[in-house]
Amino acid sequence: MLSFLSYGFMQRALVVGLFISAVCAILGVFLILRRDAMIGHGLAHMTFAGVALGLFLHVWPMTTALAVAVLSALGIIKLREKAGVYEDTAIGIFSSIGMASGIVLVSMARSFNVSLMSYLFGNILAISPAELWVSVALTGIVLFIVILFYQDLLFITFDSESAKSSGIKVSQLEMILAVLTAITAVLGMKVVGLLLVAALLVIPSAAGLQIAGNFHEAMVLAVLIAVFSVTFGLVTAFYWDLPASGAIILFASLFFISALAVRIVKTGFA
Amino acid sequence: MSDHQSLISVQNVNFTYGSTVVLSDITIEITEGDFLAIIGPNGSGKTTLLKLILGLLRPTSGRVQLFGQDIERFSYWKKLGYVPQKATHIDPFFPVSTQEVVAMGLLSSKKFPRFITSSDRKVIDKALELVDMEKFKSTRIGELSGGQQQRIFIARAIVNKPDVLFLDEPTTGVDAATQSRFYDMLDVLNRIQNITIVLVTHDIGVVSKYVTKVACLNQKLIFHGNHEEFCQSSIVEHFLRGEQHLICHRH
Repeated sequence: MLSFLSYGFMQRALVVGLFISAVCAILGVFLILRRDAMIGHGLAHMTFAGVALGLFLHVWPMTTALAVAVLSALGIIKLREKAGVYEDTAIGIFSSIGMASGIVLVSMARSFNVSLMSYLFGNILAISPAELWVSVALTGIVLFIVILFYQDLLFITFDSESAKSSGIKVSQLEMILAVLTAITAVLGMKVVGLLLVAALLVIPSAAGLQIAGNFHEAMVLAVLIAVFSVTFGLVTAFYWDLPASGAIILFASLFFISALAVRIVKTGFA
Repeated sequence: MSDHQSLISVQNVNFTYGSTVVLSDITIEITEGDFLAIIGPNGSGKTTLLKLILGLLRPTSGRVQLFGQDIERFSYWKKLGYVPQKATHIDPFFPVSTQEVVAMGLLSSKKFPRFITSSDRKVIDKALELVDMEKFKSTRIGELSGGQQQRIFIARAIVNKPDVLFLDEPTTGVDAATQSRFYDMLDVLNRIQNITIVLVTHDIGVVSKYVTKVACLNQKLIFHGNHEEFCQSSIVEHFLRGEQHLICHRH
């Protein structure tokens, strides 16, 4: 059964998948409870523009994707805070700009090829050793920052007004959360692709939130659901020759449906 | 006037939202030990005034000082406790235990990085005990009744032993019996724990037996003085219109 682990590419896929999905799940809990779940979707579209820019400039697309995603995350926050644009409107505007500039840049770079497809749909089985180390290092940094700011992030997520009246720098923390989400969206691109990265940010966390009794439990459950989804998805993809990204998200969706059913049985419909 | 120390000073504050004047030329002094009710009709600027004092909004002009510091430079956040208006309207599915909610109140006294230690947990338990909610420390806050949730938010606001406790319409949607027990608890905090209380309410009839001072707003400051003066002023008639009974002697 564990013979798939004898392959180097499967080992790399599993390590990267577990790390990145865990971070996605943790950030996802904050995003969902802050009603910011769609920011992952918007940043994924901007990441597409970043990838296209990399292909156009002939530089490693991961670096341009990171730069564009982080700047977009800050842009969405500023558009909301300073210009008074609603958050979902700001996300809609940025995701449209991302998609439009991505299409134009890809066309100019004449890069409608396998490489682009791997960014759009993910190619976790083709992760190189260098990508593995970059992903693990970035994941570690994101995790470390979340641990440092855990209590502050919980406070602003639950009651940002009271947090502000306690001297917590709410605007700065919102920026930090947005930047971490941007980095995570770029990392998630390698696991499930740009088209499904928002699902990795939302579905395992949404599943955990259905059955958790407290915030800490929600985090743990979300992470467990995310890592089981990646593991089952990868194994299924390996043995049944299926696309790993689709299999991972379908398993996460199954977990969500099960968790929702458990919650409804326990408490009834909301 | 009392010889107690002045804790909060609001001087000639104006606040406009677009072209709408919300507050005009407000000057209020809050001293140590006060139980101040800020009253006024809906839209009179009560909550806005509270948010200006807490630094959640910036005045268009005028000055707000807390403990002798301008609000822009204020740093003793642990001296303040705040129970917001929406405390009775929380998301029932938000997965946060009462213990986690009360722990949030400790963050203002901690330096970065802020972690909750085992000694903090004892302090949290004590705060829950003080509001008679220790049995519910692991319960998700959404599972509690409105009155019980209010007690948790009070516990969060007092866990740091603040000098001043601010409450914005804290009993909205709470039944009369629970309201009475709630104000009894505030009275104990004010008298026994010596916490200065600033309470925004539109319901002076209910809180009148507890408060020591009243500030009456309607965009402008109509009245600001002690409770006895308020009872004797013509403003009482205007506010109550015979609909409520005002108790003019503090217990």
